[in-house]
Order: sequence, then C-alpha cells, then structure tokens
Amino acid sequence: MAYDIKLRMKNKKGQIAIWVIMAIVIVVIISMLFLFNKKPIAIKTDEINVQNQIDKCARDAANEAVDKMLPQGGFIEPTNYKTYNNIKVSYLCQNNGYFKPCISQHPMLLNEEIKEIKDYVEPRVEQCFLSTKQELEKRKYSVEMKPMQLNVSLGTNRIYVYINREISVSKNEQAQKFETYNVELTNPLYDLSKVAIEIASQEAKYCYFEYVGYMILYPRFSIQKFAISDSTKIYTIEDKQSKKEMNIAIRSCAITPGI
Amino acid sequence: MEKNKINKKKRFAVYFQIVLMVGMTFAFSYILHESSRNGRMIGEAIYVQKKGYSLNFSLLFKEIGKLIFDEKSFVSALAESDLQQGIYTCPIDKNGSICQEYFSSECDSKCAVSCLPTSREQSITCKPGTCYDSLEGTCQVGATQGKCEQDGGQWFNDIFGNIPQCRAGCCILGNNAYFGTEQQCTHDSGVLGLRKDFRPEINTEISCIALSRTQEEGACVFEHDIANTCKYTTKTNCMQNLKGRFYSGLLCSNSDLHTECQSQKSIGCVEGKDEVYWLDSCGNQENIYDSNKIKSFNNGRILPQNESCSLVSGNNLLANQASCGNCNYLLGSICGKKTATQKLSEPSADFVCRDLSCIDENGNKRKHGESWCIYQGVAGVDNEKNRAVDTVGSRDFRKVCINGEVNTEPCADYRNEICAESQTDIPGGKFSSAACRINLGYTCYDNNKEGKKDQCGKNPDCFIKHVGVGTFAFDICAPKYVPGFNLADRGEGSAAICSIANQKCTVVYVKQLSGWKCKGNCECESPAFAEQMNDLCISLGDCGTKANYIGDLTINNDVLKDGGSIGNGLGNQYINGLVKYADEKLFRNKFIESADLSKLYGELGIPGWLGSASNPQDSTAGIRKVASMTAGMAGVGVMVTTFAVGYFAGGYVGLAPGGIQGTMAFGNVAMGPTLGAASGAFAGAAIGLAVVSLLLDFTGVGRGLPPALTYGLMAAGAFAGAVIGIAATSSSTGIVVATALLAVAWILIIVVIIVIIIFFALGIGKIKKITYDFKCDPWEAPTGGLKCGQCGKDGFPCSQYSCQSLGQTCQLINEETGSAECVNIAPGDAGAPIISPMRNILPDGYSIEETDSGIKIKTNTAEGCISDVYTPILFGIVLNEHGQCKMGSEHTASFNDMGQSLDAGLFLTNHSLPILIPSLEELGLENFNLNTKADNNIYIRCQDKSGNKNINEYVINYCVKPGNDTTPAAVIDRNPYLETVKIDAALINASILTNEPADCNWDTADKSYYLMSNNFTCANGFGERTRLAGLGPSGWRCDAQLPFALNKNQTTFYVRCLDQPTFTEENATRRNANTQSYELKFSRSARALNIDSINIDNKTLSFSTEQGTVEVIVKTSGGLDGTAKCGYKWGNTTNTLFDTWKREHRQSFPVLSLRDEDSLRIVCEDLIGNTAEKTAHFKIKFDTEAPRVTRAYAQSGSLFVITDEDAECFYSLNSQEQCIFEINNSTSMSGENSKTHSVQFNAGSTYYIKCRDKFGHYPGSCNIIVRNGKYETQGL
Repeated sequence: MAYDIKLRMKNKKGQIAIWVIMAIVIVVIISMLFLFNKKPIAIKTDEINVQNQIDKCARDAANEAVDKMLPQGGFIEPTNYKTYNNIKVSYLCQNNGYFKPCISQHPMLLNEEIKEIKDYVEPRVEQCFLSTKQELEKRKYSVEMKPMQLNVSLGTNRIYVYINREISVSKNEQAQKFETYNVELTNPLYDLSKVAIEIASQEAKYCYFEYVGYMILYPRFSIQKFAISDSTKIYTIEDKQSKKEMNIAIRSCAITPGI
Repeated sequence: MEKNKINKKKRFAVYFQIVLMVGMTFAFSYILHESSRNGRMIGEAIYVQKKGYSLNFSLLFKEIGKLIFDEKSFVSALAESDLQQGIYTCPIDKNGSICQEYFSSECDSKCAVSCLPTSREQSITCKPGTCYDSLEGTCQVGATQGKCEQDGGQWFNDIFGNIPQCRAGCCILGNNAYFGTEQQCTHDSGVLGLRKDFRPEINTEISCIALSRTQEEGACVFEHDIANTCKYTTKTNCMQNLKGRFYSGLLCSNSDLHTECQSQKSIGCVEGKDEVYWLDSCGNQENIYDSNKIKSFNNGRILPQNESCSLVSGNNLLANQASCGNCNYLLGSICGKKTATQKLSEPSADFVCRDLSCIDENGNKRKHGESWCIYQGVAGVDNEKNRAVDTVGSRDFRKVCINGEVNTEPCADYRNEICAESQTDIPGGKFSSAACRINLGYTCYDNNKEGKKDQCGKNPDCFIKHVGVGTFAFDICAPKYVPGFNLADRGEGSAAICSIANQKCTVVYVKQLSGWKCKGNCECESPAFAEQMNDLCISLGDCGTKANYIGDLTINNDVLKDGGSIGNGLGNQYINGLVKYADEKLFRNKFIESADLSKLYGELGIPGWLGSASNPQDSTAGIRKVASMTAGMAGVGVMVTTFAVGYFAGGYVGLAPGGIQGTMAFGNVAMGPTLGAASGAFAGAAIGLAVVSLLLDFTGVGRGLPPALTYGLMAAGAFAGAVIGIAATSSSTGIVVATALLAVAWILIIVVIIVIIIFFALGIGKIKKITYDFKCDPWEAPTGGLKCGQCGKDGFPCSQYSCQSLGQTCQLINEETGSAECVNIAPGDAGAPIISPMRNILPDGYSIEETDSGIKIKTNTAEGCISDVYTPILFGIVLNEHGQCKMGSEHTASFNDMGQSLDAGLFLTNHSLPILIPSLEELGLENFNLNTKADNNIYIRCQDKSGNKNINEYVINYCVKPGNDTTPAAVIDRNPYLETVKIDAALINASILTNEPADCNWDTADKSYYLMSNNFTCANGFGERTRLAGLGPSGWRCDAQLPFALNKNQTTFYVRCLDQPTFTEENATRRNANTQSYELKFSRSARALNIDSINIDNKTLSFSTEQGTVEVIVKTSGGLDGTAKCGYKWGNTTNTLFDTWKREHRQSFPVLSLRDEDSLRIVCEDLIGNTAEKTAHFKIKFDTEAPRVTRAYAQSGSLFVITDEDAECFYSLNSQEQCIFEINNSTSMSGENSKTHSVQFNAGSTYYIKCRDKFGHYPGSCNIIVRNGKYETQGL
C-alpha cells in the first residue's frame, strides 16, 4: 500500500514537473514573443495621426497647386504668358509672327501639369513629414523615415497623389509603421486640360476653334473667348459642375495689329 | 532738141520718181508711224499721265512688296540682310516662347539661344508636326519635334494630326461617352476602374455623343432579406461595377421587382440628361415627366424618349412646357429650375424644361446656339459710291445665344478679323451662324500685280475700286473691309499703303487761236478728282479724309497744284456723306456674308498666298485708245492708213533702198501712162499731206488749230503734192494740163508753209501742263483727348484701336487687368513742339549755323553755297514731343495754311527731311552764270498731339550757286539687276539709274555718245528722282527695250549719258558726255527651268482615313540656279506652295482637298522669269473600315479565318470579356499581313476573334465568334 502510495506520489511529482516545465516553456515563449514582437503603438488622435496629417498635407498642397495652375493655363509659375485680368495666362500655342498657324508651346500638357503638381506638392509633403517627425520626437517617439516616392496622376474629375514612404514610430517598446498615403482629390483639371488641348490643336490646325459648337456638344463646359489687341485670344473654360475655370492663351494666324 | 527736151522731161520724170519714191519712203514711214500712235495731241498728254502713273505704281508696289509683304510674312520694315537671309528660327526666345521665327536681322536680339539660320519647317527641332502622348493618349497638332520628344512624347511628321494613334473613336465611360483616341479611353477607363469600351467604328463626334444616350438601361437590383434595393443605371455599370442583378427596360419601382422604391414621388433633373424626370422614392430616375402619370409610368417599364410626350407643337419648340418634360438641349431646352413664367402645371414641381433662347439687341428672339454679327458702324463697301467705308476705330462683334444668355465676342481688333454671318431657313424662321474670321484685306494690294488682277474678284475680301475722272481712269484692287492701322505707333507700312492713292493727274492746255484751252484730263481740275481719289484713299486702309467710329472726321489728304497745296479739294456734301458711315443704325440687320475662303487660306498656307510685288499692267492703255478716237485726228489717221494699205497692195512692199530700185523698175514696166499719172497724183498728194502733217506736228501748231483749219492745210498740201506729182509723171498731154496748175500748186505750198510759220510764231499749239497731285496720308485722330471717355460708352468694349481713334492723346490703360480705360494722357499740355535740327546726320562738308528764325545749312566754301545740286542732303528735325509737321517753300500765316506734310503726316519726334537742292534753272534762273546765286528757304511748322501749333515758322535757309560741273553722269543702278536673263528672252526691258538728270544713249558697239544710234527714255525732272529697287540708290531713271537675238547667248549694250539736260543752245556745250561706256551685259540662262519630279506623280495614295495628309514634294533644276517659286493651279487660281523658293518645294495637303482631283498642275518660275509646268497624275484610295471576315472553317485541327484584306487576327477564349477583349492583350493568329489566318482548333471552346488591318482598323466588337464549332458574326 505504501509502495502504492509512494508510487502514486512519484507519478504526481512527475506530472507536476511536466506541468511546471510546460508552464516555463509557455512563459518563455510568451516572453520571447513579447520581447521580439513589440506591440504596435496606438498613436492616439489627441496626439498625432500620421496618416491623416500627411493626407491633409498632400491634399492641401495639391489643391493649392491646382488652384494656382488652372487660371494660369496649367502652370504654377508661367514663363511664357499673356497677362489678362492680372493673371499670367500661359500660351499653349503661339506664333509671334503673322499669318502662320501657332506652334504648340506645351505639346505634353498633361505630363507637364503632373510634373507641376508633383514639384509643388513634394517639398510641402516632405516638410509635413519632417514636421510630423519633429512633433513625434518631441513626444519622445523614436521615428525612422525612409526616402519618399511621390507620384501624381490625373483622371476624369480626379487628381491622385500617391505617396510611398516608410515611417517607423516607436515608443516604450511599442512601434508602428506607415507606408502609403494615397490622396484622391475631386478636381476637373484633367477634363479642363483636355478641352484646352483640343482648343490648341484646332487653333494650330484651323486657326479657329468653334467654342459654341463645342459647348453644345459638351454642355458640361462653358467656354468664353476674349480677343486682346495684340491678336492674342484668351479662352476661359469653365467646368459647370465644379465652377472651376481654366484660362489659356493662344496666338495663331494673327495679323499685325495695325501697321 | 525735142528729143533732148523729151529726154530732159523723162530724166526729170525719172529723177522725180526717184525723189518721189525716196520721199514716199519717209512719208509713208512717217504716216505709218503716226497712224500707229494713238492720237497725237491728247495722246501726248495722256502719255505723260501714263508714265507718271506707271512710275508711281512701279515704285509703290516695289516699296510695299519690300516693306510689307515678303514671301511669307508681314512686317513693317525689312533690313537688307532680311531680304538676303530671310527668316531665322529661334529655338527659345527671351519670353520663353519656343520655335518662333524672326527676321535674320532681329533674331539674335530676341532669342535666348543661338538662332537657326533657316525657317521653322526646315529645322529639325522646330519642325511642326503632331505630338502623341502615349500614356494619356492626347494628340497635339502644331507641336515641334524637339519639345515633344523632350517632354516624353512621340512626334510624327504630320502637321494635321492624321496619324493612326490620333484617330478618334467613341469611348463609353459608364453613362457617358466622348470622342477621343483609344489610348485616352484606355487611360480613362483604367483610372475609373471601368472596363474599356472603345468603339473605333463610330467616327463622328455627334454620333458618339448620341450613343451615350442609347445605352441599355434598367433596374439594377440588390437583393436583401426584407426588401430589395435598386439603382437605375446602365447594364454595363450594373454588371461590371455595381455587381447587381440587371433588369433591362424596367424601372426600379416596377412591382415585379419587389423593391422598396415607390414610383413618381418627386420630379427633378438627372445629371447628364436634358429632360425632366419623375423620380421614385429611392431617388432613381423614372420616365420623362408627363402630366399624364399613368402614361409616364408605363407599367414600370422604360418609355423611350420618342414615345414620351412631346414638348414641341408646330414651330413652337416649347408649346407643351407646362405638361411635358421632354426637353432637348440641341433644340433649345433643358431641365432647370422653374421661374415665374416657366413652370410645370404640377405645383410641387420645382423643375421645368427651361427655354434657352435669347432676345437680341433689336428685340428679336434668337435660338439657343445661334450666333450673329454686329458692327460699330457701316461695314464693307458702299456699292453706290464704290468705296470701302469701315470707320476708323470700329470693330466687328459676334453675339452668341447660349444657355439663354447672349455673349458678346469681339473679333480681332484693327479689323484683323471680320464677322461673317450666314442664315439658314428653318421651320418658322431663320437660324444665323456667325464667325469672326481673318480679314484677307491685306492680300488685295498684291492683286494689283501683273498677272494677278483677275484674282481680285475671286477674293471675297477685295473689290475693284474704279477711279474715273474723265479720261483719268484706272482700277485698283482694294480691301472691302479696310484693315485698321496702329494709330499710335505706325511703321512705314501704313504710309506705303496709303501712298497707292498718291496719284498725279496732268492737265494739258493747248494754245489755240482763241487762247489757252484745256485739252486733256480737264476733269482733274474739278472736285471730282479729289473726291474720287479720296474714295480710293479711304478704301486702302485707315488713310485719307474720313471719320472715326463716333463720327469725328479729320482731313488727311491734300491736293497739290504744280507742287503747291490747294487744300483738300473735298466738298461739304461729300464730307457729310463720309461722316454718316459712323451711324451703326444704317447697318442694323445687315451683315457680311460668309464666303468660301478655303482656296484662299491655301491649306493653311495663308502666307504662301502673298508674294512679292511687281509692276502692274498699264491700265491706262484703254484710256489712251479712247482718247485717240476723240482727238479729232482719227479720221486723218484712218484715211492715211487706208491709203497706205492700198498702196502696199499694189506691190510697193519693199522699203529698203534696194527694194526701191526694183519697185521703181516694176512700176515703169507695168504701169501705163494713165496709171502712171494716177500713181503720181496719189504719191504727190501723200507727200504733200505728209509734209504738211510733219510741219504741223514738228512745230506743234496742229495742236492749237481747229480741226477744219488743220484739215484745210493738209488738204492744200495734198492737192499741191498731187498736182506736182501729175506734172512729174504724166504724158505730154498731162504735162500741158498740169503745167497750168503747177504754179498754183507751188504757191499753195508756200502759202501753207508761211501760215504754219506765222501760227508757230504766235505760239499756237504750245502746250502748258498743270499737274494735280493727290496726296493720301495715313489717317490721324483728332488732336487732343477730349473724347477719350467716350470709348466703350456705346455698349461695346473699348479696345486699343477704338481708343486711339478718339484723339491723339487718348491711350488705353489697364487692358491686361480687365479694367481697360481710355484716358487722356496729356490733359494740361499747352505748349507747341520745340523744333531743333538733327545735327549729326548732315553729310561731311556741311555745317549748320543758327539764325533767329531757324538755321542755315552751309558748305565749307567761302560763300557757303551749295553747288552739288542733285545729291540729296540728308537732314532732319527733332521735336521735344511727338508732333506732326508741315513744310513749304513759301511763307504762310499758319500751320493750316501749309501744304506738304512731313513723313506722311505722322506724329513723330524725329522727322527726316532729305533736302533736294533745286538747280538754279529750277529756281527760275535760267542763264548759266558762275556768279549767280540764289537763297532758298524751307519753312516748317509742327503741332503736337494736343493740337498746339507753332506760330512762327522754323526756317531752313541755304543758298545755291552753280558749280562748274565737269563730271558726267554716272549709272548707279540697273534693272534687271541680274545679268542672266530667261532662256527665251528676245527683248529686255532695261532700266538704268543715273546720279543726276541726263540723256542716255545705247548701242551694241562702244562708241561716242553722239554716235550711238539708240536712246533711252529718261525722266529728268527735278521731282522725278526715283529708285529701281526699294532699298536701292535713288536717281533718275531711263528706260529702253533692248533686243537680244535668240541665236546669241551673251550680249553687251554700251551706254553713255549726257548730263545737264536743262542746258540748251548756248549752254549746251557745258554738258558732259561719258567718255567711257557703262556696259549692260546680259547672258541667257544655260538651261531651261525644269520640274524634275513631283513625288505623287503616277502614284496611288492609300489612306486609312479621310483625314489623311499628302505631302507634295516638287524638285526643280535648271534656269538661273535651280531655285524657283512653285505653285499649284486649281482652276484659274494659282496658289504658291507653302515652302518654296528652293530646289525642293513642299506643301502638305489634307487629302480631303485632293479627293476629287486626279491631277495636280504645278507651275514654277525662277527669279529671272524662266517658267516650267508639270502635271502630276495620281489616284487616291481610302480604306476607312475594319477588315471583314468572309469565311471561317475548321480543317485538320485548325480554325481558318479568311479576311477581305491583308490583316492580323486575334482571338480570346475569355467568356467573361467576350468581345470587349483588348486586342493588344490577346493572342495573335498565324497569318499576319495576309488574308488567311489560322489557329489550333478546339471544337469545345468559344473563339472571340477580331482582325486588324495595316491601318489599325478593327471592329469594336468581334469580327466573328466561333462557338462549339459554329460561327456567328457580330454586326458585320
């Protein structure tokens, strides 16, 4: 009986040891997990929301860029322009001489616009990243940022800003990563620019653009033409839905203003 | 003795006959010569007139040609280098503009980088073509290769954008559709996450837009447990994007669908649609609003638009506006918010079919999309008066009714554009369409060139301005819509254009027995001369006396009588008639009709249509002919000519001495005594007549005698001659008869001669010429600026041109700010301009001495007098402000009394004043005396833009003293200036220019001036100084026609001149003749000009689209140096090729312009007049459709597809995409570029097949679907 009891005791100790070992292993594993897998930091909204911050920053910068570009023929700082209503309106198609059809000054307008937006937004977004980083660092976060890639594309009624930048934010053994920040703006830049390209093409080809017919076929747009005394024509294209306007300057097949 | 007597008589007869024949030779020569002249008295006067006219035109058109029209561009002035080097291309100029062309002289100063010494079309980086954005799919015409490729685009050498990548089709994007390129569609579909639906077979914009309205629509249902939700949309959107169940043709409120949406809960507009719709409770569109709800609900099924209620009834497009929402944007209505007068009968409805029509300025209703013209005053030509009447400062406007609003669109300022309108009959009225189009008025001047006069009537912007003041008459091709000038900053061009109307009419007086009587161009002394010339003047541009657009008239013409001003010569009634044109009410409801300008635009080659100017035809030839008939001498001429012809018909043909002998012998043998006497009588009469005519003409007395007396004297001469002739040639009997009359005849002859001598001594027949010069100056605005504020007050926008026209000191400010205002920039100016001399431009050897009233120009001789009278002294005056100056040779009381304007009356600060020093003879001191000297003054006054005038004259004084001129005249220029002449030249119209007035002779051998047998016709008047070329030296011109024997390749003409033609009689010995000849050498072109090739000749030109482009390349050789100006002929019109004056000439034509042609006639002419013609024959073939599959079959485990043209076929097995598969992402069948295509065949699969031809045409859907071994075609 004693043997039985001793034998039972021995069996129980073995069981306990196994359980203890198992417990230790579990604890070690859990500890290892904790050790090697830091819990992500939940950056609270009352502190800094990196995603929102960059999103807003890019959105504001893109809107600002486009608001400057639209009245100026698609450019933020036009170099070859006609001043009209105190606005520097870019020549999309121009012939300084007389009689001859105009030469396109921006044959890849959409490409150039994309570059304009990118060049305008990129440093501002970069600044935003730096500000965000500084803010986070002020709050004792550790921030690691990799180089930024920013791309812009245009589509019907839309401007897309794609930002790719890896940021790792950590604090008290807690960390979080951010990588892509895509912004979609509702803006008719693309649609207005396509009309502008059509106008420039027709002026280069026929020395004339019949905007009334175009407006009837595409009632979304309202187009106005103003002739300046040096034979420059200013076309104002309005997107009736958004009320946004784009100006372009054309000088084609001009006759000298008096001789 | 008797025999001797008889022999003596015979000898006398023989001698007389010899004398007779020799005399007759000259007599008939003279008679024939005279009969070939068109009238002697008036003819001479008119000849003078013609010469002046011709010279004027020659100069004018050369000047205009050089100053304004070069081969391609329009400039105000050209440097000499520009004429040689032409146009350069600036890759990027200082304003940042790319690929602009500048004249070589200015290019470097305007260009930010080095200029390319060639035209844009010839450069590599700046050649215009089409730029294709392969990512976005956009195409930009007029793009340069450099910029396009720099920005990442693909550049194509096609200036019209006719490349496959830019071919447009219909892109369906959800509910919308637009007409664009396939890549655009790919891009846009991708961005929106839609499957691409591109229909290349839809090739018009309007059918594409219409397609967006015919998309299959219906209810897109999303099933839920309790109730289904629904969205009304297109099938594509429902299935592809919303992933719902699509019920075609059903409304969401259809009870069969069991949705939560209830029908006809509200009324509203739907985005992208024109009509007013019923909306269900879910906000979905239902059918078009109809007050008949049941009909509109249509049992929950879609009611097509054409079966819905009609808004239109009869001609009323909005008849059922209150009960029907079937609006139509194209017909002038669209869904919009209701107004007090426009609303539905349903009280709760806030929307209605809004009327988009407008009310115009005259209260007339205008339809949506209608456009019409409106003008600031009368436009175009007053046909009754035959003059162009657009007022200065006026502008054309286009009004447009769009979306219920009237927009005003100004056409280009300075009337560079005109508004043209056409009206189309539509039910219930007319529909106007207007456009601001280029005013081709500038091209009219060019139509006055030789060979282009018939072009005037073909240009819708030109008209023939006829000037007809009695016998002073000619036609000028002038603009219908006068081009406006830059009134503030004018170049030489405006003065050159106006000066076309600077014409001289020479009135000829002849002294008759009763005193001086006007015999030629007498009407030029009447006001009609000034008025008709002013009509021409105002028709040319902003020239002459006319009003601005508010009716303020200024005088800008002058009439000079023998060089002295006699005022403007215009009557009050005439002037009032001009002012009326400013009244826009006179032109209300009138418009300039649209015209076919396609030929004139020259396939975008507008510049090529212009050319350099040359001499016009002598338009006075007809007048001179008429003048000869009214001269009173025609009858004599006809009689004499008839006689001469009769005589020649008798056998007396030869006129050379040898011929005379032979003829005489023939006469003796053949003629009997009677005939001999008769011929003697005739011949004697002719000699008598000729001698008297010669005398009358030589002395000039004939001009001053009444016709009866002239005929009497001539008849007396003829009678006397006849008697003497009979006496000399008849038989003895005849001699006896004639002897009685012989004495009488001789007496008669003597009496006639004495009478003529007496008349001559009395001065009968002397000619006096009075020249009336019409001066047409550029239009000047009224002085001051009191009316600047009126600009824009007439309801039209104020422009730079309209502002400038209101006053000299009016200036448009803030044009670029949108708040343009016309202001007076010198409101307090009260001082007249201060005149001072331009000191630094006087030639060496001259100096200026200030005097109390001005200056004295001196030479460095002891007396300071000028002896070099024919060398112009370059001088000028400077004003302290812009001013208009006048000069005169005599003292006057005020500015307004002065005649001649400086610089065509322009307001300038620097006025050039080339002083032409008259000789002493021209100053009235006719006898040569080395001690004679004469003081001469030039008086000048100026006024500024505010109208402040100099009270005192500014006097330029100089003295003239004869120099001992021992230097003969020198030839300083020649025309043709090239020695090489055209290959078939037989007669050369040559001109030389001498540095002083001179008489010049020429010969083919080098000999003394006096021995040279031919003379030039020289214009030696003091005021006849001219140029042979626009920029050449000035001098005195002599003309001659030089024969160039066709068997010679080279020839030299020797020219010598005798100076000082005014020296006659005792001073004649002072004239200096050249001792060395000037050699006018000419050589014939070695080869004829040849058109070597035309690239399209004998070719079949294939095009994938009717929008194709044909580049025609013409190669020339031979002639002067192979270069030439080439053009193409369409009908009678010749248009210059766009890129010519080379050995290789090019022009691109839209294929549409050639589609009805099978040949193109090319004509070329080189600089010296060699011409060549060649016609290219070609065929044009269009392939605008996708290939068709004509047969499909399976054989030996392969599927074979046969196409009707060479193609490449693709297939897809994707049953989800079916026929919407992307051709570039699918699998190609074997048999590329052939008609047979194959692929391994699995009978259990479905093959979706599309085929593409070499032009890239393929169907939007499938060519063929092979399903389970059977095939079906789709829409083929």
